[in-house]
Amino acid sequence: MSPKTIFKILLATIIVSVIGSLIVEVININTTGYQINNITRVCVQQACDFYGQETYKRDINSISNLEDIIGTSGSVAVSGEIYGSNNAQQIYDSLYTNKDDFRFWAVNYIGLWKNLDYLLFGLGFQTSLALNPENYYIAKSYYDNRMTPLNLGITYLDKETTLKIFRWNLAKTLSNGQDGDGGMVVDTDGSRVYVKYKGFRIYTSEAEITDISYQLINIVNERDKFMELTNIDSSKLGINNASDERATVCLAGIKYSVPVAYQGITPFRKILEFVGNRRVNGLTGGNSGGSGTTIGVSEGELQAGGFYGTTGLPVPGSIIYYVLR
Amino acid sequence: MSDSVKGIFKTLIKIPVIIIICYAIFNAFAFGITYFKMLGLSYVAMQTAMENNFIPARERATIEDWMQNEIETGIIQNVSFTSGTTFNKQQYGEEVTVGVQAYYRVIWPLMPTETINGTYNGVGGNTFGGNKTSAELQATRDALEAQRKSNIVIEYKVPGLKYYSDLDN
Repeated sequence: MSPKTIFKILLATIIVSVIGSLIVEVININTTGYQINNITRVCVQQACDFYGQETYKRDINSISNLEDIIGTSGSVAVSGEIYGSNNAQQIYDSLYTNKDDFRFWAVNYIGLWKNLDYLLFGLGFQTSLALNPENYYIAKSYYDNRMTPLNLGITYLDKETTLKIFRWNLAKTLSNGQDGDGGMVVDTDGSRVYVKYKGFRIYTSEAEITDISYQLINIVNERDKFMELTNIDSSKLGINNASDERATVCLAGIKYSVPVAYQGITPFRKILEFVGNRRVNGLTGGNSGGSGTTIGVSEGELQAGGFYGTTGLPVPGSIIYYVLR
Repeated sequence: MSDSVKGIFKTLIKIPVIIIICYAIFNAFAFGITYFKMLGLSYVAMQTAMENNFIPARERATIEDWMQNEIETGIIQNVSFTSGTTFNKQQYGEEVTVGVQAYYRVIWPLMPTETINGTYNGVGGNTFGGNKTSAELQATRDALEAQRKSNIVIEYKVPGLKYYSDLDN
């Protein structure tokens, strides 16, 4: 075998390996990316449902706060403490009585639904209700029974609590239940916590619910719009009078974002890292590297970019959440 | 050996080689398509399990109907949930196993055919040969079918993300 043939074979091997790796990476990005997108959406949706189920009101509070997710360091990487307390009244007050977010939300809807007015009256808001003993006792009973807008069929989500549940859902799902030492929830690689998932790094602790906006829709007058947003035919809901207060429905539009970085599943990444970490003497304009000068490509700089970067690219999404009476 | 004879032999060797390569390429594509089909099916099953903490009976029936009517073909057989799939209700955060499996039948030019001859016991410990009955052939096929192991298994372990107040204790 001539040296020419040997070099040809070597070159062909390298080209086939690189192209093969790239094909595998592209297929992995496409299939897993789709999967991550779906999982994230389900996690947000289920976080909203879990918040709506108001588990903190149960006498048995075993489900109010979830179990902690342990990182590779052996300490808590994602806290399961959703409400910060096991006392139903304390949690209720922290969510509704003393929460600015709720107060800002509530003032927009005074006078729209009578039940909500009673609740807000009970929570100390000024409403359109007359200040008489009857209204006072109804409002007080609403507060004493820890009624919430969700109980009245009006969508309201506490952003902070929903976000905590969302992050927990995401970390728990993507780590496949494999937490702890040697698990998939990494908290020992720099200061940021991420979950390793099929070549991706998902920074679950930095996932954000970027916005919760509320929209009122009259399901009698705006049937098409309601259908478009919820896929529900409102003509089958039994409400045909547009002035019926049940016809006004509050929809929550939730926007979320999860930082995701790709590190790859083939040795291709290792080769790039190896090349990227080499320091070459004799080039100018780079970082200081002892007596000589070096090129400025380091692992840190590779990480800062989109490719296996610690910055991560935010992957956005949105869902519509609602409760109906 | 003259060149023409050489050429004939070369052609004789080339033909089966080309046929085998064609079948190999076909199988690679068919397996790829099958795998992606199964991947899509597994995503649906996983999402259902996450949303309900198990595969409820109604969803199970829908997915199994889809498996049999839309996924199964001549080359994808025995599409089903894996034996470890959770079909009973779990509480929020508890681990739920969900998976799908299938048998990919490799298409090959030299497929083994079933033997219709059987050996039967005669008088005095003697044996004699003869053709199997249709019932015996069917039993042989069923036994082979039962032995056939799924060569595509996609299984996930996910947490249930739905709270059931009746399971709270």
